[in-house]
Amino acid sequence: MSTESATGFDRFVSEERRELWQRSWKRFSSRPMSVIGLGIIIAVILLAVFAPLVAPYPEHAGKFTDFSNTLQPPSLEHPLGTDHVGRDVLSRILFGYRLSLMLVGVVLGFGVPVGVLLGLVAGYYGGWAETIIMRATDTALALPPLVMALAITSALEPTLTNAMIAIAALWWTWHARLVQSIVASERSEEYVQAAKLAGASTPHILFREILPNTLSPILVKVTLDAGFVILIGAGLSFIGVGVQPPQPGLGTMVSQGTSYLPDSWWVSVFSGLAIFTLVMGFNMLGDGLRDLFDVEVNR
Amino acid sequence: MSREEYTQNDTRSGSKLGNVSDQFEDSNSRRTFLKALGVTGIAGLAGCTGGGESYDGEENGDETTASSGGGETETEGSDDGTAGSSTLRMSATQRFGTVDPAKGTDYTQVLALVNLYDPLVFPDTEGNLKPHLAEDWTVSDDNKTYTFTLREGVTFHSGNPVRAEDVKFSAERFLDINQGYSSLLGNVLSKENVTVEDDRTVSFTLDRVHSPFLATLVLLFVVDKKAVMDNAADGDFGDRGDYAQDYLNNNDAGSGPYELAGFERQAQISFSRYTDYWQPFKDGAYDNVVVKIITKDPTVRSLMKTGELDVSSQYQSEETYQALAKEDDIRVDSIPTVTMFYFKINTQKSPTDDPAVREAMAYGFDYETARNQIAPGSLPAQGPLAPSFGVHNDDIVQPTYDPEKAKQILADAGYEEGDITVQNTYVKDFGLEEKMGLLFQQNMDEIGINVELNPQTWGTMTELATSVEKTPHVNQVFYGPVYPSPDTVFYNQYHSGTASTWMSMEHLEDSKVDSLIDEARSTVDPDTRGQLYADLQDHLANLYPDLFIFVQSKKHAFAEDVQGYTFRPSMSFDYWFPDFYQE
Repeated sequence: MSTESATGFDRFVSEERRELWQRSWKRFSSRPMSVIGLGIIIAVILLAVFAPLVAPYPEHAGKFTDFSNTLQPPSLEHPLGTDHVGRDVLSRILFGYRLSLMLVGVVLGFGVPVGVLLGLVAGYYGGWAETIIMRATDTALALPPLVMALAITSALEPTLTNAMIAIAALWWTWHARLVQSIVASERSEEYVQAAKLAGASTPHILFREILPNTLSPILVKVTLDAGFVILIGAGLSFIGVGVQPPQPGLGTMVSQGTSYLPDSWWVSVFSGLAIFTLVMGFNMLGDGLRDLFDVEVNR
Repeated sequence: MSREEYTQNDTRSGSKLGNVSDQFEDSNSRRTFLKALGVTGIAGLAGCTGGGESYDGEENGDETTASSGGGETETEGSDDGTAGSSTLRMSATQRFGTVDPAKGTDYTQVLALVNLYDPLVFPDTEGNLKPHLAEDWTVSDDNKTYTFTLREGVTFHSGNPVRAEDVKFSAERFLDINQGYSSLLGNVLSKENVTVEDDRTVSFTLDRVHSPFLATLVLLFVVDKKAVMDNAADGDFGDRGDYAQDYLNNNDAGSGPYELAGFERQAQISFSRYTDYWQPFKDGAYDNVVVKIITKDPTVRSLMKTGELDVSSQYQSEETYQALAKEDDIRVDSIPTVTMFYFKINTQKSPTDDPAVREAMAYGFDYETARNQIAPGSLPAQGPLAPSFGVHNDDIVQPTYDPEKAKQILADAGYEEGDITVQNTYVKDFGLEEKMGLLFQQNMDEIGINVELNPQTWGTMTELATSVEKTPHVNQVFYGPVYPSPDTVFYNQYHSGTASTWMSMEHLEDSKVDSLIDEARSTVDPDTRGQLYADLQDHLANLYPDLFIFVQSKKHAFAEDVQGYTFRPSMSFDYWFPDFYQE
């Protein structure tokens, strides 16, 4: 929590707010669950980024087979065993995290800005803009993301890129709706009126006055969403859409492992646990943040 | 019809006419072939209609009016599912798309047809044709007219007698609907040339000499004309309406050893014994047979272990067979077949239209690992035909794993590393093929060919196969004889005149191949034909239209008390239920 580092951030967030955040961090760090969640996520991100260095057999994530070494139980050589074509499960999980995090990054990196922007516009202007944007949102919300992703990837090619596009194409809706509802109530607040009277431009009001007040719910939503996106990604690759062989998708690994249950349990169980851990991490962090910001709102 | 008489018929026709053992002529010296049988691998769902309808069991069950045709029929009432009746429970990996005898093509469909209907002739364990509905036949001197005498006293499940008229009608229905395997007959037979001589005599006059004709007749299933006409709806075939296509999609009108007793297309199909069948059943033959569609290996494993399943499908994973073999009351049999596993290469699309690329792939693949580690028990391939065929050419050079040679071939042809990217398509969720794909990807990476794996459903694969452009570069397909003749291996896969199907994903266009196949078809003398087939195999091997990976040994897990499984080298004819009995 350095105060001097990012000047852009300094202008964006006022001195008082930063103090508020520092107090919040104290409160946040007093909740062991949230800290564990944050710790898990940081650890997973580091492992994923440095997977080529950390993984015992980085080549097992790519074009590799060793049929003399298939379905070996966990051992010192292969801490989590090997899969049905002799690849090290641990190495593949680490590389699998890369794909999962990449999916989260792309989906939320596209979905959140778009959703927030549309929500701001709809909430601030109301009228026709609101009608058009929010009815489009309602329509998109009516489509279950998993089914849509399936439809889009089957119509195109079942690649990871298409799966990302498909999920991202629906994900903005939740953020648009969240932001719109907040903005709709904020726009009649005194500080907005004051800014208007002071002659501030519309972009200034939207991004400098209103947006900072919506940041905390967005942050909570993003954190909780990350878990959902990972689950959807895993679900898609479980049924064979998205991650293509030999890429080590976590869902794919669970799915392939089920053919060898219960005797060779380690493939499915460990890759399942890997998904569980990451999603759990995001959820614990998200819950922590939500509690934190709820308190702040109450004050 | 006594058993003795039946056996006599066997011998007579075996030595006289329509004997295809000459095509498998070395079979006696090849023990392997005695065990061989053909099955098209994970053969498909082509031609299926949408599912969901279920069969209503009303039609059967009330056929006690049928006269007792033979003296040795089982006692009445043993087939109504009451206590004491025996049931054989099998699993299959794909649904039964249709039970229409004019439409079935894949292994589940033919499995149902073989048991519901009777063809005129039937293959034995060596691929010889035995009398079945026909008790005898003669061939004219010009080898164009085949005259069949029908067995006496055979009745359909409806009780109607089987007459020559029904045979003619079945051929007309097959040719008119023009689906399934009808082109096998359609190419050489027009329906006007099927003649009813008298009630028990029917003759087929071919347009030209066609040596595999008799073998293809195992796929002409005889339907009950009266039952079909009674159930025909309006349709495109004049006074014959729709030829009862709707009805026969879910009901049977045959004379086979088993009747359809229940049909839930997506889940299971059940059969009950036809008590008035012309041929006596063995002691301990099953009263009922249920085939359940189970795609997941763990399900098969647990059902086998708890005794709720008697026979597994042939497509379980190696791990499943190993686990089941450890159980006390289960045995796993490995049965050499004449089915081969091919990587079919699209020869009309860049870059695999270049023979050098195909040759390099052939030398870059690790056949040993594929055979010993991925499909243990399978036999080495040598050229396009399974070596246990009598007409197999033993002099063909089968490529071996030699990455250096493969690289050299590519370099000589002017390719550099990374120039070539090919797609490999296989059936999604089929463990063996996924492993093959990963091995291929790794092998090709070593010689500088980039492979994209592209798993698809079988339905999509059959769909892609119909267009040269859409057919992926390399396709994993099991293919085995659908009728007991080597012709089935060559014509369906390599003749340019054959329709574009999953069997011919090579889309090969080679005039020498075509003329050799045509010549073999019009040659009656077995020695001449054998020579033609030998030349053909040699020529095909040099064209590298496929990687010939291995000859399949199929495995089944059997409950210990299930006996009688009998090999027949024609797809699904080894699942003829009367073979099976309970110990």
